[in-house]
Amino acid sequence: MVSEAAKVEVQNVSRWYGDVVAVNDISFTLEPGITGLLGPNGAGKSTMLHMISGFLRPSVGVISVLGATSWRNPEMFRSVGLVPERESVYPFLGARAFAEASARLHGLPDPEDAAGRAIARVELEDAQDRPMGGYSKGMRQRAKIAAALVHDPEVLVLDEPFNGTDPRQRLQLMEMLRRMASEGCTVLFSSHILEEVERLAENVLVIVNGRLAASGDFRQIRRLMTDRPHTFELRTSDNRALAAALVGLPHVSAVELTDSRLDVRTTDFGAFTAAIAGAVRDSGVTLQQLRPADESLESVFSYLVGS
Amino acid sequence: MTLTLLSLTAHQLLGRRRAILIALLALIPVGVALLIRFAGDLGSEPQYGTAADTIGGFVFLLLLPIGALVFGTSALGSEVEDGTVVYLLAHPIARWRVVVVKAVVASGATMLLTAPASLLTAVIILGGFDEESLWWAATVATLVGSIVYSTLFVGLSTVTSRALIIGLIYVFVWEAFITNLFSGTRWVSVREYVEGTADALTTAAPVTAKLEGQEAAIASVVVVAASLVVGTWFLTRFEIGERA
Repeated sequence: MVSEAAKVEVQNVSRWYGDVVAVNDISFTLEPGITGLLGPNGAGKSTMLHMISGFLRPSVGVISVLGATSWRNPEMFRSVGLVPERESVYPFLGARAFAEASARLHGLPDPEDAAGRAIARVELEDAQDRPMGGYSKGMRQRAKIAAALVHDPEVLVLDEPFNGTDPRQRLQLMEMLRRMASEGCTVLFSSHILEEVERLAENVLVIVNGRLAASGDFRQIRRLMTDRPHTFELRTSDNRALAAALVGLPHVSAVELTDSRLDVRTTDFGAFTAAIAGAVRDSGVTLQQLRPADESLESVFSYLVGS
Repeated sequence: MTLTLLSLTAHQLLGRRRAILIALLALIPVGVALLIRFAGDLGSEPQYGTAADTIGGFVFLLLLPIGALVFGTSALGSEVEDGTVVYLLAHPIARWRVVVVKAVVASGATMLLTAPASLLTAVIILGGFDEESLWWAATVATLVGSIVYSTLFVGLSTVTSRALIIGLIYVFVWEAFITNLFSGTRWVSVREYVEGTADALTTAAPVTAKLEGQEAAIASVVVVAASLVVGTWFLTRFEIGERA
């Protein structure tokens, strides 16, 4: 059952090139908010984004964006913005003229004003009139993003949007995307940089070898991966005493003492977190720190890719 | 919307070295005409045969198809190659409009560089005389050829990334050799339409063609319409792949 809030719906979609399967039977829905599409190179991320934006026909399955099929549907772009991965831009245009051309192609009533707002959103005012042929990679990315959001799209699809941007530009773009998401925009972006996805995305879609390996909040995904032991880092007033208490618990598979820390591996996240308070109390130690050590997206990703 | 499309395409086509190269190529028939006029012995009578041969050999056979091939295959093909076509297609624009605008700009650019060359060549060789309407015929035929060739090559560029090579084979193998060997092939040669148009508009005896003027006009319209339909069909199904 698809939620009424779903802006993008992907149903059993596959895409192959000859004998090569690029995307294999993927289904998901996207609602307003930020979703990160993550996967190793060649996993099928760009193929997926191209199909969502109507630039590739699914071999099998259906993709609908805002209730209409994306393939052969240029009208969809009235409410959809696309930032392609390729760097190429019109070298003879400035970013402002590029955004204005985009606004005119959208048939907006006041293209100059729309372009001005879009350029301000990506903070490219200083270079807006210089030809883009002389732009840095990061500036080109921002110009492309400005052109894609000039019509305030409901759905924004970005293929590796942070390529070439410096840390300050990246932060600014992330803040801008967060703001758009908070205003109801559905943002889908791909990245091969885990840190970017972890910092920005509320939800992740992990594609591995053309298949959807996981989707949702990555911390929840990690907790559902019950075949992988969870690791916790603990600091207490007496690590050795707590280690002795924990090692007897049925769901604790390993305990490791280091100089200042106690690392505990458990096969049951819920049972361990329920039992830890009692174990600390019974062993008479003071708990100074308890944190999951492998709930980062990197851990989830490496588990998924490695599995 | 259409004006923006026109402006972007024109900027891309005419702002590059290819326009300069075609402009230089356009100087060849004019230069040859000047040589004939001032270095040759043309006598006092207008030499319609010399003018027809020079225009046929340098404009209809060389400049016109090469100019149209370069502009026609670049108008959309270069954007597909460098990926900028996605910026156009990621807008709510009917694909037929994109193809028509590309064909209009490519035709206009070809006309701009070839029609003056055709006219000047005729004027220079005929020394200002033209009782047989050869200037007019050569210029109109060049304009017609610009539209048909350019639209054909725009359509071809939506079908294949090798449009330039296929176009060269079409012009220099099919039209230059095959059409001369088999008379039935005249219907699939734009050069025959150009010559048919010229022949219909001049009374100069040296200008001959395998197609009647009416036949050439009908064939030209059919090729332009078919190229636009095929171009729209393929652009509607455009997929990002190895080409973009």
